[in-house]
Amino acid sequence: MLLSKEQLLGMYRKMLLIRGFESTAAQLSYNQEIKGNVHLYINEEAIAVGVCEAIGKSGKLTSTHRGHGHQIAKGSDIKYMMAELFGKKTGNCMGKGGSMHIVDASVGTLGANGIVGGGVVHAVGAAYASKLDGNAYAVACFLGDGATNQGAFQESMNLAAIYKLPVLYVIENNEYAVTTRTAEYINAPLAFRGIPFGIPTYTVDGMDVLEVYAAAQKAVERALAGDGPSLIVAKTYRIEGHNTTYTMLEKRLNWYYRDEEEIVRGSLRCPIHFFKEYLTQTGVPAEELKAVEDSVSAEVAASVDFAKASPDPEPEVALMHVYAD
Amino acid sequence: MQFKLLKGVRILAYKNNTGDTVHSKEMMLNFYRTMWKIRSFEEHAADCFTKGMLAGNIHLSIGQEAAEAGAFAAIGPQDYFTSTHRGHGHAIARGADAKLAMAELFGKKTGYCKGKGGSMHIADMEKMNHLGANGIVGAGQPISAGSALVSKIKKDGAVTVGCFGDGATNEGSFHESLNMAAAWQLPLVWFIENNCYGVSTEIHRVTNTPDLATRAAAYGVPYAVVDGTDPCEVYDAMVKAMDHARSGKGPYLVEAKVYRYQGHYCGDPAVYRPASYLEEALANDGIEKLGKRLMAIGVTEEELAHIKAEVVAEMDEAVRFAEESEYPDPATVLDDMYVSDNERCVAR
Repeated sequence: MLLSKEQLLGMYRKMLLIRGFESTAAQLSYNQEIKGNVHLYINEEAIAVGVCEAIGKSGKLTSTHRGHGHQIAKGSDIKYMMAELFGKKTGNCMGKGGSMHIVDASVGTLGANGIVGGGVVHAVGAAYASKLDGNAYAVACFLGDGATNQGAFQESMNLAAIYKLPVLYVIENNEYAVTTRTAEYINAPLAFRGIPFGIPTYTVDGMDVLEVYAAAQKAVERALAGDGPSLIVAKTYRIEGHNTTYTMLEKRLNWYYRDEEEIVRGSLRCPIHFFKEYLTQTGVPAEELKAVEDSVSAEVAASVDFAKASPDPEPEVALMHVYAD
Repeated sequence: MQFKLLKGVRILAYKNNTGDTVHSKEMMLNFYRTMWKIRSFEEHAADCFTKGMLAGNIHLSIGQEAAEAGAFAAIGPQDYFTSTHRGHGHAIARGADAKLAMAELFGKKTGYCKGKGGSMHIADMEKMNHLGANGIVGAGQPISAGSALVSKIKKDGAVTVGCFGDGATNEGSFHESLNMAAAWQLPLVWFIENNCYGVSTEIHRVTNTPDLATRAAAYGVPYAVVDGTDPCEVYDAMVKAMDHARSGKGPYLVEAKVYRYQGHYCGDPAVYRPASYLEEALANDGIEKLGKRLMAIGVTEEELAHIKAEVVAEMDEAVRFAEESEYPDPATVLDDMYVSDNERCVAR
């Protein structure tokens, strides 16, 4: 399936929006304007954008603690997410969720999750609902490399395979689970994880949005045809710390679990840089790219203004929406 | 003909000069006796259960004797193992005293756990290195991985064998434990007895691949699939698995295809499975097949009947012993509940 210029520019815009949002959120977190930790999706943008482009507007997704990028890629308005990070009343969850619990049902995101591997079981439930509707939509289930060792992941894949559910399992292998190198706790490539369940697997370069999209597109076709789940293993690299606190810690402790050189190497594999090169080579004029970049900067700045100007939630609403009626 | 000894702990199988494994008559007779022990123990237990002499449920290993006899022959005296809710066969194959096992089923003071464990919790660290049967499906998986980690840290040369059924392979702990064991190269062997039914669910309704053992591939763990009605085939695979694990190459997984003659528990009418299942099972009866094989190499029918009679007498005696034993004193109910010290615990 060919992508139109509008789609390509849309993907470029989303990637930039993720980068802009995350860089700004990081700064605000360091300044203590945002309370708590923020887990940044910087350098991993291509995965969320590629997959979300493939599952389309009707698709749904389950996210992780590193979930801002997924929300943006799915088309959620960033000003509400920024307000949520600030804990403001206008946020996605009325300021009561914070960075790790963003939900925007209006665009089909079923929730970020502070529990590692928590979303993998939700994805099965959502996909089962889709199946009952005649495979109406595909569900993208994002998880990190660390979450692959949660038993729930295998239980989820087994059920999805047996019931032929329309799920795309997307492993974002950023090489570290908090501070543990992935290679230290696995004995075979993550791509082998689909074997026990007979799930077809794609290993892709997570820094190439088009490669991610191509694999996800095939997986979506399979899912919507009722043939069952697929597994996509996207290799990427997390140049930030596990979260903003870890980033500060890393710098203070002189890169205690990896060396600075490795991070520099990782940042050179920038997915946005690669995609911009591609767009330039395919003949998109520099002014058009510049226009996208400017509009993104303006949107991010506006989101911060919106968040800062918003009121805090009233203490009385603390228990509202905590229990389902 | 040159004989090369296999590296099994009980030296009973040989490789001839063409590389084929030859199982000695003595070894096959041992299998035959163990298999009858398991069957007879279970038949006696079922009889007592239906007469109302036993409280609670029992899960019978009838139909799985060949796999258990073959597998446990490959396990050395220093090795450890975990068992399941269907665990009588494992204990008997490991050499459990039928009297103590039966007394435990009866809830008597003389049982392996002083009558406080019952059928699903037979454990014995003194002679069998039996880390315990377990009422929780799949619970032996992390326990066996933990025990293997102890062996790796202590360098005691022991391998831990985790036994479980087909249903337990869909527990997340299967994957968590196997991944850790593979990443840390632990001396662990997993022995899956695939009897095709997780309680009443046919395994292929809940599993997408023909063999369960292929699950090991996800973690780079080698595996073998064997006919669980042939003790010799199971033994050979287990010897290979044990050698692999003992030499520090990490875990190994063996899947034996077996039949469960009874329902899930004693008295389960098993209406959920087709009649053809039991027909196929009986046509492949491990004890019968091994008996024929033994007769083909010169063992007489009388000798086989003699083995059976001896075993039955032993089990009759076990039931008598259990019946005559006393119930535990209610005052001891909290004894042995908490561990103050345990040599398998390295964290202290």
